[in-house]
Amino acid sequence: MGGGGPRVLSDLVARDGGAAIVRASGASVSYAELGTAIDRAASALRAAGAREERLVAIAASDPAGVLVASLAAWSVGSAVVPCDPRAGERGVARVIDRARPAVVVRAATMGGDLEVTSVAFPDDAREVDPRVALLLFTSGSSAEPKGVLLSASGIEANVRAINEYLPVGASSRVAVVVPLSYSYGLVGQAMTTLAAGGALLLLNDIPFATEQIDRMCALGANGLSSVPASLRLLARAAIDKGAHPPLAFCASAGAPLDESTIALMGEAFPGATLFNQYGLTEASPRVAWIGDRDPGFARGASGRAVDGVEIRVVSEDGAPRASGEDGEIEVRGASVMLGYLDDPEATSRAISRDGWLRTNDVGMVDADGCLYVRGRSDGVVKCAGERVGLEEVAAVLRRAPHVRDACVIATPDAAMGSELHAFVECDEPAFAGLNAFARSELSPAKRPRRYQRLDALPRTPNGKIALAALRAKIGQPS
Amino acid sequence: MSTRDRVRALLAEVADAPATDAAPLAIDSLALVQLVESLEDALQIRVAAKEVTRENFGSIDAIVAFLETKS
Repeated sequence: MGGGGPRVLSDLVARDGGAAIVRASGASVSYAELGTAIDRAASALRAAGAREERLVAIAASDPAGVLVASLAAWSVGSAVVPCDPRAGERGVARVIDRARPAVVVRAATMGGDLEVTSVAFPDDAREVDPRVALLLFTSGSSAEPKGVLLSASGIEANVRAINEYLPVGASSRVAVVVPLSYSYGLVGQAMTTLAAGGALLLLNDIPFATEQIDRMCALGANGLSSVPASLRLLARAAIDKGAHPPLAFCASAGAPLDESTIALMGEAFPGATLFNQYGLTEASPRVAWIGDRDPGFARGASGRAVDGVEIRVVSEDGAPRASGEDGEIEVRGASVMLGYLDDPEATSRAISRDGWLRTNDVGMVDADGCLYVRGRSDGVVKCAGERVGLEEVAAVLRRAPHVRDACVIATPDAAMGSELHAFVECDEPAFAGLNAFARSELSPAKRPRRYQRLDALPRTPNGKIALAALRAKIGQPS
Repeated sequence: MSTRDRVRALLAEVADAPATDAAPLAIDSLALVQLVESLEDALQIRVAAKEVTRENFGSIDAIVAFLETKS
């Protein structure tokens, strides 16, 4: 079939070379063995009903198995919808309800053995555009996460663009500490490394930064990408232990990179070239990059557009901003998403007729063409690199029994980026059960850190919740 | 509130509760650092990065035992 379908992604994986996937334990599969594992998993998927224009949900917990199953699904022409196992059973069920995949992978091994469930097609399973390779749910300003539809050709273009600047090659041993259910882990790290014929060291199932550093040293990790909160942890652990993995590069993305984090990275990983990157799920994901030799790096710049992507900054009415002026960042290129699942209205709000994607990030481009990202413009914050929609969290709290209204605000947090404070209009008995309710409904990064009960939320004269008054309650400037 | 109850409550804010206090925590490294920070705030202690190990933070039992050495 070809024609830009999902198979281009399984075809991106190098054909030969040494180790392809290495577990924390050191157990590994070579590229030849990975090919065999993908074929075995592909047969199981095909038998379960996976084919072109259908979705395969990956709800397995073993990261090596998730990768093999995803590659196998692409090799039979299906689109993949990853389910973050940290979201719990209910979170996985919600993704499956909305995605309506033809096949659900419940468990998968590095050798390609799968446990699958078939869903009746077309009664209960949906047909997708044949260009779609990946469906990722991500938080936005609305009450429900949005399903982002990414094309195979867009992802392929992005993988190639990343490998233009990131020094990944056949001798690379890249440590992965972020989940593979995100575009950053799956596309930005796993696919880039496998395309270059390097080894992926899957350490994302280890909760301890100290152990991750030990394993990186023992396994000879020479590359690392993560979000700033995780890089700070790893750098501190490396410095404390005096254990310095031989990194040739260390790359950050997912949140702004500040001076103190850059200093920690430099101290923990001497000899590593440092990178900052900017992207978003809707752009498959990478948009801009900068290396530490560029003077903008130390100032926190996100750098210049990756190959095949254009960046511009516009005012609220869409007029382009002059260099140095803040505005909304817009992005155009092959890697921009096809649209949001089942939401043509949100899609047409997000992508203009001439292909510009609104990022909802505010920033500016300086006279040298270097991008600086300031933050979100739409009530979305980053907690530990994960996008969290404040309205989405508030909407969940409003569903709790006997809660009349709720509002969530975020304050800066040195370690995580943001901390969520929930203000809830309810009576004492309802308030007591709220934390448990939030735990059952929200993934960990989205759970408020602090709760305050109010008899009535403060409101402005036109009835909107008075955010400034809520901020004042916790001593925050508005 | 006992230290054990406090650990359970703070853990519940960042991860799903384990089946027993001896069971390994189902938590990722970032949620773990949130837990460490909450414990530092709640108990007025300092935890060094190199102390955040499986031995000290592998289960609720391990955390309680570790906190006893801190008080």
